[in-house]
Amino acid sequence: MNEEELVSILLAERQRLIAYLISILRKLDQAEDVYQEVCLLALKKRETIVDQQHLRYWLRTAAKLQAMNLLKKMQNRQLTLNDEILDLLEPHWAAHDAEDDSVVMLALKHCMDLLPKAAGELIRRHYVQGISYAVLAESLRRPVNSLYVTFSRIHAALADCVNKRLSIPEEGR
Amino acid sequence: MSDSASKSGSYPSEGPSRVADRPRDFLRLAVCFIEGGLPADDLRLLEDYLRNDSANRSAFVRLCRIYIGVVEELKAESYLSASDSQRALTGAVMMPAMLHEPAANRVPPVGSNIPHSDSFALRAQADGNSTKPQNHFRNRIGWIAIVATAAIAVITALVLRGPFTPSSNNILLSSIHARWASGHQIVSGQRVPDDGVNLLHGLVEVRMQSGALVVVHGPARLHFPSPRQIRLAHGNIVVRVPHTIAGFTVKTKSANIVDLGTEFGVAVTSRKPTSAEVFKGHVAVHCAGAAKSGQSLRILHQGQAVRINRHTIQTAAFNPLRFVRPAAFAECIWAAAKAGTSSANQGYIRWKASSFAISHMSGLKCYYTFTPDPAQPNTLLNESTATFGRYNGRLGNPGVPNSSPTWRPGRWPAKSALQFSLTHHTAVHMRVGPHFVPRRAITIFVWLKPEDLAHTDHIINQIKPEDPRFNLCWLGSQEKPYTPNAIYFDWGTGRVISATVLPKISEWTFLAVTARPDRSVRFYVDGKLASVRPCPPAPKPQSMQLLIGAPGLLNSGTRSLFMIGRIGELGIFNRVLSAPEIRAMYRSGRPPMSNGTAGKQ
Repeated sequence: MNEEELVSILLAERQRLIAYLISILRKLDQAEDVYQEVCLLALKKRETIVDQQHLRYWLRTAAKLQAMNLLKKMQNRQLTLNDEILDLLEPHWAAHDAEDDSVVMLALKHCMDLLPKAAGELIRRHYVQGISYAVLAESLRRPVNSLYVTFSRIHAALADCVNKRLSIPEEGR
Repeated sequence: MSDSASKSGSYPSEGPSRVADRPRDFLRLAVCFIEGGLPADDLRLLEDYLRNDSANRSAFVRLCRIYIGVVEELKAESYLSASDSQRALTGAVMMPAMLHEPAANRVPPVGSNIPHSDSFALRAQADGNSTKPQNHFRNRIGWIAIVATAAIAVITALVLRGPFTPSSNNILLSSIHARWASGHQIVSGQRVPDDGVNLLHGLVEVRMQSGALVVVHGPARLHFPSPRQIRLAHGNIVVRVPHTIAGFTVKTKSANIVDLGTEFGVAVTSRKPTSAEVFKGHVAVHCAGAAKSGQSLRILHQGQAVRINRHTIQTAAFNPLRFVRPAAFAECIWAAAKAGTSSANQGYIRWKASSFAISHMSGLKCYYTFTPDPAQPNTLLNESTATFGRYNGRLGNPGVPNSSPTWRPGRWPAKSALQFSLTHHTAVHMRVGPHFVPRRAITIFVWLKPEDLAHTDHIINQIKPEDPRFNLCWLGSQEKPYTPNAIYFDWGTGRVISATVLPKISEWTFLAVTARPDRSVRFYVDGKLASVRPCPPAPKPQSMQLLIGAPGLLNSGTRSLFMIGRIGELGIFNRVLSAPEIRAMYRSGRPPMSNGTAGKQ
């Protein structure tokens, strides 16, 4: 696999791989760092990578190993999912391999546009302005737990909306 | 939910497989986990949910992907809206698309299935209304109490903490003539605050925690979200990344530039596309808004440049003079020490960085910055890195008294130039081999200050008994028989004379001539194309003796053609420089005007 092709796939796989790393590491910045290390590793080992399918499997394996090493270094293993669960999740990650990230993002963007204004504002305040759940809960005069529930419902609604849009044929989207 | 969707899709959105139909507690735990806020006790509960139900695992994987997508989409959106009106544009594009969508395919508003209590709470918050009566007086007292408590806490923390110590480990190594935005002052050796660098003017060098070296050329605003990431709002930066770091990324509003072990520059200016250039190694340029256009990624190698719009990546002319590289920064520090803080030297530091870049440019045959070497005061040094040590000039004619041009201040007091005199018939002499004058293509550029605009000044000429072959002259207003106020160029097979160029009075002028056989000769004055003429065939190689500041025939008939004025910089390339390169050369080297400004564009 030549370098240009490899980098192209690495960038196309970025979101999927970072999502996978989040399920292990739970922290976005650490996931991005590990992703970058995996990119370097892939560039070094590009001669041994056969095709795109092989690369995807290789990337997940390498990412998992790197993430585990990081957790070991940080002695933070007790706050992450155990190995048995991670293994059970593997086939579900593999099921997402056929999805084109750019199509998923288009669907997500469309779904986010459909969010009620208040919900959109809420996630902007949390994810863009970095306002914590505690501060948000205080400003809304609601318990923090109910805010977690609200966020989980927004995420679930977006997930269902994306699933639905991906199930609609291309011309109907 | 339409029937067609539920029948055709591989993701059934009705029934127990819907993510929203997963247990409420599981969804809460999953989102807490993904955002990094789940305590250890709850983690075991989440594991139970995942262990016992495949649908939960599937939902968990989808939620992880949705989380990343939401975060990245919102951040990209906020970057765009902060800098320009892209957000309005996006709305204008999206709305018609949604309106024209077939009703059967239309998805109900997301969140419409959020249980009523939560949806109600969200709407109430957004509209600022509530069905419950509000006690405004109590609210106000509550707010005053919160603000007062917070203020006391902040003041106490500041007093106990002492001087402000930011949490990042990025260090400002040095700065040159730096002027900071209010409240963003940083001194050398100090850590860069978390909100980054807001530089109004000058140059600074930052060593990041990851080992990457960043040279920032003001005005610029950027910050460092992680040790391997820079977010550049505007300005010019050059990043040198050690090979031990992979995937170092510079993010701008329209692009992600991912390092693959290299040195590269990124420029962001308002209302213009992001520019990226690679000085060493290679980078991957990712266009943020071109997900489906097929032009979302480009690998750039050394010496390549691109412009990145929101949706496309276009090849651009490589123009290293726009940037100050880390190696040039050291030169600038030396130059700053020499120039001091005098306003008359404004622009000198920038020229020094640019001069360093020119000396490393490809195809540079010779480059004279007209900087005297104390060890060899009678030598004009060639500073091209490719031919350093060769093609040095000798000031004056040995044995002829007063034939040496004299060192005088150049475009800035800190910069020197050679003063040529008609009275003493001064010149710089050079003997060069047969391959000195390029034959396939050529660019000559020179900074000169003619003192008598009526007089024709010979800039660089070949000594030949009868007919000068290699020849560049400024034709004065009294010139006969050629066109007055024009540029004369002879590359070895015949003269080419530019159209009339408006003369300037005793000011530094930047002349550049590019030529390619059987195509055209282009004359540039102060970075602008002044004239285009057909080019004669290429010359034949021959050894020659050259003169700077004197005519090629040193007999009594041509003595009046010796230069009157100063030359401050001269270089020859064996390729045709592009118009942007010549413009950048002029801009980075132009002297201050008499009123102290940096000169016209």
